[in-house]
Amino acid sequence: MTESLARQRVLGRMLEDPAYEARLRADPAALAREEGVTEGFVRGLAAIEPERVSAFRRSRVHKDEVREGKTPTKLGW
Amino acid sequence: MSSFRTGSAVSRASVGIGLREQYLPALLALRDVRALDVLEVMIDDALFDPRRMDEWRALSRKWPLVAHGVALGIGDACGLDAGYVAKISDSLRAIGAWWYSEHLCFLRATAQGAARKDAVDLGHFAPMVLDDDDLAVLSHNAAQVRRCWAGAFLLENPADILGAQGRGPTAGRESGVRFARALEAANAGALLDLTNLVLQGRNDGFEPGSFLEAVPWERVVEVHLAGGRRAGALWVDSHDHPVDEEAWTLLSVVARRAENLRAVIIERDDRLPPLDALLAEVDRAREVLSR
Repeated sequence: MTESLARQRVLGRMLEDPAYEARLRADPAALAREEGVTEGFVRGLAAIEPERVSAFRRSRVHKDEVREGKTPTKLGW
Repeated sequence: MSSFRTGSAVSRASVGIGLREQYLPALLALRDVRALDVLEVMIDDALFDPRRMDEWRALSRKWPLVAHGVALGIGDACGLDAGYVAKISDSLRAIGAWWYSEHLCFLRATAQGAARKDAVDLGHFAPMVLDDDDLAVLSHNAAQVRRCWAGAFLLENPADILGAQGRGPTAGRESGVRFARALEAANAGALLDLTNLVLQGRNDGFEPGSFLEAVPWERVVEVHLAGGRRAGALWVDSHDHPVDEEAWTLLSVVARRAENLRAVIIERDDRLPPLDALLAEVDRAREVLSR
């Protein structure tokens, strides 16, 4: 489960931190060495289009807002 | 498949909606209880607002309840929150939920050497690789859930907007194979979100049917249906539109093959229409199941 822990740390940081995402895209091999995960895994993350990462972040924020009642929902369109 | 029991009082392929707070008054006032067979509650809501339990008990006198969760993080390699699992299990028992479903994903990540209590909560479903290491995590965490909750436990195929599960025509079958392995590792039933599958196929270039070909049908207990929307080049699982037409088509496939299917739930989280609009979708689902 150590491998899973390390992979989740890397993906989690990529989704949370745009500066980390930029570093991952710029030098996947160095980041893989630093984090103790396979280079193939990091290259797979680097291949994810930036707009998909942005969509993940937007979706998260939107769902948080709906669940917290900040986004208006009402009966009727 | 005897290891995930479902409530015996759930008739085959009951149809209902996901309960949202805005529908509560209309549901409590609804005279024709036959308009729905079942309700799905967001079990996490009970932890944030204990009043929900009283409301749900009132509703459970009209309809059976099944429970859906969003905050477990069954794939978290840093482990589950034992206190959370215990509270959720207490809530499930208190409302007589016939099963508990969650998303196949991880939600929290820890910095190197950090403890679970210091994990970063991503707040949204993040995809797992689902190799042997991840399957060991699932098996371990699911066993922890089972120690607290003896009822059936289902896992849902979540939307993966990152496309991390693969792209192209073979990605559907490969994702389906990984989903099947995950269900086996967790000894869980399947909650098939057909809309997630449709949108995933559009985003990643595969036929949704190729995913279904790999699904172990005997494990399929529940289906979710919703509507997404297009945002730029991507389809988003926004739950803010009527059920996608392609998802209706897939429902007819599932209905023919999933002999243990017990419930179909219409989900809506945003741009909520009047209850009657959802009840019309319930009727349509019943019609598809009866063919």
